[in-house]
Amino acid sequence: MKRVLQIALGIVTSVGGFLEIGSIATAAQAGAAFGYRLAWSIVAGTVCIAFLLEMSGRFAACSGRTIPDALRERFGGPVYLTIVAVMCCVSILVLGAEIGGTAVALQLGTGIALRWWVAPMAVLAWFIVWRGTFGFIENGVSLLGLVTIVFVVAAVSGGPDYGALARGLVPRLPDHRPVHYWYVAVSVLGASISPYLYYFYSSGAIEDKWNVGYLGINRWVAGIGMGFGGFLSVAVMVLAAIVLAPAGREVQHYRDLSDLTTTVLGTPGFWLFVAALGIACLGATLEIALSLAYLLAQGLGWEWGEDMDPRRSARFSLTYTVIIAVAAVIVLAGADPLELTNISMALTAASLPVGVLPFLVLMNDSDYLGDHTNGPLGNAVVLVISVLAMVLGVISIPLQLAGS
Amino acid sequence: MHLAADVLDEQLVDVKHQKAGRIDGVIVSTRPGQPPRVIAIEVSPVTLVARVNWRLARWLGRLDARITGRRTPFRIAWDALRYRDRSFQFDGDVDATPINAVEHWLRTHVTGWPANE
Repeated sequence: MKRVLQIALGIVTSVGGFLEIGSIATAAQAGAAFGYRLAWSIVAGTVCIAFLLEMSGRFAACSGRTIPDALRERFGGPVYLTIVAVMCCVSILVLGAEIGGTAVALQLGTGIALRWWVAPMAVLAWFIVWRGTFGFIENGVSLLGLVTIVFVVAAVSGGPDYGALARGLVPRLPDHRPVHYWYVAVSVLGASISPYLYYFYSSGAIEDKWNVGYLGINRWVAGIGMGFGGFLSVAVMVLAAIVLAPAGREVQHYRDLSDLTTTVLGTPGFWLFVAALGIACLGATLEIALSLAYLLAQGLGWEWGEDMDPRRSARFSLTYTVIIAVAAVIVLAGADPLELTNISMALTAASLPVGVLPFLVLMNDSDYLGDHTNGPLGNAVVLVISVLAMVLGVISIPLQLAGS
Repeated sequence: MHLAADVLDEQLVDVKHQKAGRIDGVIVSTRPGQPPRVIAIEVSPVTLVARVNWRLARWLGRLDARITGRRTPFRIAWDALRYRDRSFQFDGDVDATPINAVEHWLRTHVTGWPANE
């Protein structure tokens, strides 16, 4: 019974924690610009992150080590520092987008301009990480994130074209605006396959003292949790295809996103959207800040742990403090949260192999995993999708930026 | 034992199993007509960064010297190390070494952790 409860809680928190500003914005842009045609990119990204999450939990449970710990040990300091540099640059931009997302939610709810909310939201996120425990951040915020199910309710209520949705699951070439099509596809992949998710998940497995007895739970949580999470992203895309695409509207501002639920569900839909956006972005802010602190502390051999007194693990706690501050400054400096979201998601996709390929090598090393190394399916899926994302990103990002 | 694979970048812990950073460098002495001999390890961000970029390491060294007061990376004699439980352990208290100087400085000046704990 305890196992069933653990699986249920894990799945629920995975679903509640899946959506964040990147997945909401990119799925909505996909639906508004191309209808159901980019559903395949959400499915591909979800399958890839489900595999990666399962692998990271399995790695922690079997080896008793975190991923940054093993990356440093297996590949050496220079490779580790390269991964840290790329991850920090990209993830701080994503963090800025998430903080901007919480501020946008409050702007929508109160009418007070976004810039007045950025600093208070950054301080609130920092305060939760500083004072909260890992369990509170992992379970509490993710449970609140279940409000994002409003997107599924609205999508079903809106009467989607299920045939077109099914056809969208098969990758097809675009019938118009090819550069934008591939750029949005890359952004969707980047939003789904966020590396911070599997660093956070594996660190959580160590904090929760997982061992090989948790492999079954890990498989269920990663597979079903991420599967339902991807379902939420598809719902956002479907809503955009129903509400925005017929009117020829694109997502040019976060205000456009609130129309997704408001058009179908009325005023309650608006307030549920505000709550969903705010909570989803706040949860992602906490996870990204902690993930980067884990990446540094574990690779450099410091004492670390969200449950330790932050005054004692000073380097660990100051790392996430500085990271949150830098990300907030990027938004305060005038970066548009939607543009920041788009470029950070595309850059995440383009840089995926930097972190994913060394991780795949670790997952095939029996010194760490014993008999639990990767099978060919997991290797192939993650390798193909992450390299595809990088190639598409490297080609489409410059073209899109030049075009815009 | 392979120095690069089995020693470099491994976790270092002190006698109380407190984390004490990683082995950032290995000091080898060479003698004419005899095989090289490992004499010490280095634990310092300056040594780690020097493996990537010398100029950046020089700048970091100046910053490190300002905080820790040391001009050379901290070394531990090879004979004082033993491999235990997937980490290298040294006979000493990490808090009595310069390895955690930055951590202590931050605790004292920034986070306010009581000095006697």
